[in-house]
Amino acid sequence: MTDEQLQADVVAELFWDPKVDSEAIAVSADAGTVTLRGAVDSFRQKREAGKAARRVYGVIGVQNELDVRLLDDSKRDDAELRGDVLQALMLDSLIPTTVDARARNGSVTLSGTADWQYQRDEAEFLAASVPGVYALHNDIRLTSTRGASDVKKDISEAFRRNAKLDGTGFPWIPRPTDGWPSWAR
Amino acid sequence: MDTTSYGRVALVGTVSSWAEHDEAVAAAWSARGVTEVDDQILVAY
Repeated sequence: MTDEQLQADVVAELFWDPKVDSEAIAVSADAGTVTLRGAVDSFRQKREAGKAARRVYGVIGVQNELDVRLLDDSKRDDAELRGDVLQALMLDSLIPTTVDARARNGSVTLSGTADWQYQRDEAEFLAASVPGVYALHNDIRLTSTRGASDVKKDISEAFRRNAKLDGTGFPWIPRPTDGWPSWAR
Repeated sequence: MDTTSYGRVALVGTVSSWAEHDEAVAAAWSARGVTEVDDQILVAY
């Protein structure tokens, strides 16, 4: 696929996605890597635009350089923004009370601890969706959940069961970067 | 041994879309005991 075709497909996908206002987004493509420039009016939109671009056949990578230009309605001071983020986190039963947030010039940082990655992801999604957020950093630490007997086998089996992954003939396996500890061999 | 290294898993290989990539990374994160996923997956069409 040529970069011209890829660029046109990403433009079409951004236009197609009702969650994305693509009017002020410029797309370029270079050897499969797509760059998004321009402006959107919320951080959530910025994330949705990146997600839409990643869906397109032929996209190898996405550089999301979109500016978040908040409308006056959604601008708020940091104390208020932090309050909104904490409330959003509190109202989701998946988020443990050990997760905290702070805001500085509209940039939100999540901190604290969680047991699972899905809780970290959920917190990030919730915070990113709060109006008034310019940027987001997810510093939530995972507390180790020990007790697995064979992580490699567990993950391989999960890949095998998964319809989305099984179609590829399961060509690769997870491996530890530091050698498997004895409890995981 | 450093206990934090126990939970680190690297994913190495090639998939044919970002959807597959995301599915694989999510599956790895779901394993009990995993605290870090080193994502080295290539997306190739």
